[in-house]
Amino acid sequence: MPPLPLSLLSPNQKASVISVSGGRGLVKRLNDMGFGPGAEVMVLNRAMSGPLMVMIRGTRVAIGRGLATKIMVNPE
Amino acid sequence: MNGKKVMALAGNPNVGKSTIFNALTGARQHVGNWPGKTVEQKKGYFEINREKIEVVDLPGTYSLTAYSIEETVARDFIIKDKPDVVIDILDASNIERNLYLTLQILELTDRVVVALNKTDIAEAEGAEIDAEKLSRLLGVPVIPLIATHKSGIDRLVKTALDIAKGEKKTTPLKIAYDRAVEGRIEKIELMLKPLSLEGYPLRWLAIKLLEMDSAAVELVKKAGGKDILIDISGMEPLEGEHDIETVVPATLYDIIGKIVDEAVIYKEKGETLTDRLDRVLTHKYLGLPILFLVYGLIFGITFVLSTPLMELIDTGFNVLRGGAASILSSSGAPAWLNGLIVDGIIAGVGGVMVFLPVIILFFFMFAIVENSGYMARAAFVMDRIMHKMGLHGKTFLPLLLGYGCNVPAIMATRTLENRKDRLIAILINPLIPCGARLGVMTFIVSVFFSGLTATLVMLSLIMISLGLVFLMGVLFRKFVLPGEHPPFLMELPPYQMPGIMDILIHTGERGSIFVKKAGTVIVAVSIVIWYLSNYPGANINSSYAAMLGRTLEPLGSLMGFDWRIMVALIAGFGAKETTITTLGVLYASGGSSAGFIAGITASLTPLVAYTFLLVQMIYVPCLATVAIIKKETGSWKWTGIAVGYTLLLALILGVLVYGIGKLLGWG
Repeated sequence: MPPLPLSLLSPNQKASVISVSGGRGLVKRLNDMGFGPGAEVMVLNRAMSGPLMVMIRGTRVAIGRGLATKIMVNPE
Repeated sequence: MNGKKVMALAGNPNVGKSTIFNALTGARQHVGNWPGKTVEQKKGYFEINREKIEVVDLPGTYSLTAYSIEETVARDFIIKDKPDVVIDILDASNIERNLYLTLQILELTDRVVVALNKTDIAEAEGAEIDAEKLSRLLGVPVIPLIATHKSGIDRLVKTALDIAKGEKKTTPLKIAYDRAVEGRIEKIELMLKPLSLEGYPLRWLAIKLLEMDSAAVELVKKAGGKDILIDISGMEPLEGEHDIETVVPATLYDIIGKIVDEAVIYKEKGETLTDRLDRVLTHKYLGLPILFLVYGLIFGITFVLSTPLMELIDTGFNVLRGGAASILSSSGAPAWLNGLIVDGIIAGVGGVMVFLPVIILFFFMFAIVENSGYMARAAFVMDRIMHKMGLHGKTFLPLLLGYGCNVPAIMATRTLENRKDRLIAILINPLIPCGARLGVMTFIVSVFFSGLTATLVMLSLIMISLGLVFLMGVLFRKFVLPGEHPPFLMELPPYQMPGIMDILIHTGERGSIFVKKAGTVIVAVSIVIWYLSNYPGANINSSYAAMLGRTLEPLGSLMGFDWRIMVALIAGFGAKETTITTLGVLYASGGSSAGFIAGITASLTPLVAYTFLLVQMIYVPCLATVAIIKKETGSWKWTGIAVGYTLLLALILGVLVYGIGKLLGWG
């Protein structure tokens, strides 16, 4: 599967993070929360709109849809 | 022994830090703010072998960057205040992400003991952690704990004390970055050596400078190291695809991966309770109805139970006033003293105490829901809707709570971590009419309107207030607190059984904050309002308040108000309920309620009544709310803005509605 933004990943599909884009603070914050390159991520819950619930490094995290478009992932 | 030993508690949010803090200090704690910051600071004490130990609860953080005030506060405390030992609390069921902070703490100090909390939950979720191996890998002691059962606390305290007294030495793991980064770190370290840098570890500072950490840059600039900064920004970018902001965290997570591989055995992981609960509670369609049900329960229980208690307190204070008045007059005290004590002080204190049941009951319910882990889900579910209006998902609960009372509502904005989000939530909250204002509105509407018209009038007012909430939310976000819309990124902690001890302590804290801080201000201003309404003349008709009302009459006339309405609005600042009592005194001929209704309906047209309803709904929050805004924002400026904009908004809308109404021939 080709890389896609986290916001488009289907629920329960595992993927690994390729890159995070955005301002310095945002990139650092996402990295701090575990969204660094290579991290395994899975979408647990997503509605038509609104934030996604994802599993990242053993933690459940709610992430805004806009933010999720900045994280490119590689589905397994 | 040399001086009092200080222990600092560090850890991610939701790791059970406050449970451990409460278990250590019990009720001997003090809640304040970090000097000059809006971040809450908790300090406490305990005694062991007749030695007094101070415990400082650092803000819960995921990292130690300069991007949030909480993180800056935590790292500055570790660096500058040099606690004798840092107790780093980990959630064993979440160890990977938690170790990220641990490694950063180890870069700052070697006086660290790791408290591995929630080992029971980790085991239930199939993760078995070898504490000894973990300790060997990290180079600091690791104590397994189940804080909710107080198991392991004694061992933790003993180990922490040994480290604090220097009786136990640690050899924390050294973090090595890749060669290119290490080369740069070494270079910067050499350049920093000649500067005097307030005890900041040079290696750590070098890493932060590479990351362009704003506080680190500022520090070096101040120490006269401008050239160093220029040199650093002139360094070639790292080879490879990632820049330094990514490489540093990636290295830490790499090390963590290796540690976890060695020290943790993951068994077949079945579905956890959190998985199952989340499937229902955050469900696409069920999530929202469940949220309304939970909030309905919180408010239902709070307001149903608090109403009789509030009446009881009110009656109690009235009895007290009666008793005090008769004692004072029979002992020959002058009338002014009698008035000051009875109508100024006792009534003022009563006015504060009446709020207490709402605050205690609400925060009791709130703490249960928050501790259980549901509050984060509520924000997740609500964010979809709130986001469209530029507000954070967590703003919803305080807004809703505002319909009961704005005071606990503003205190409840503490759940918003981002300062801008929180300020906006505080500023727009007074626009939600509280129970007292709704009471005034219902009464006036029932006097002037009836049947369907009354319902429509009431509904229109509520809709206007909601519209204003969102309008002001957007305006504040855009013009007053500009900047990028803070991204929604929030941990959803595993569900847990809330601990009763934590809930009681939290509730007690909120109650005492309100009584102490708001109480002093409210009582003082109540005395002033009492004075203005009773002097220099014998009654309110010839008081300073009346003079002020008459002075303001030209302004009022723009909205069709006479001086009496202006006085009622002024009096309403003390407590919104008094608006009605004041109108009663001023409009009644003969003092009966029938006289009041006849008097006021004869004096005001329905258009003026409607304008008055609108203005009283919006203009300045009540005194208790203003006091709590000051307390929560820690700033007179923001308190002033909250008072100023509501006043201005009320004036503009009042003039507009009255003017347009007149043009349309309704007046």
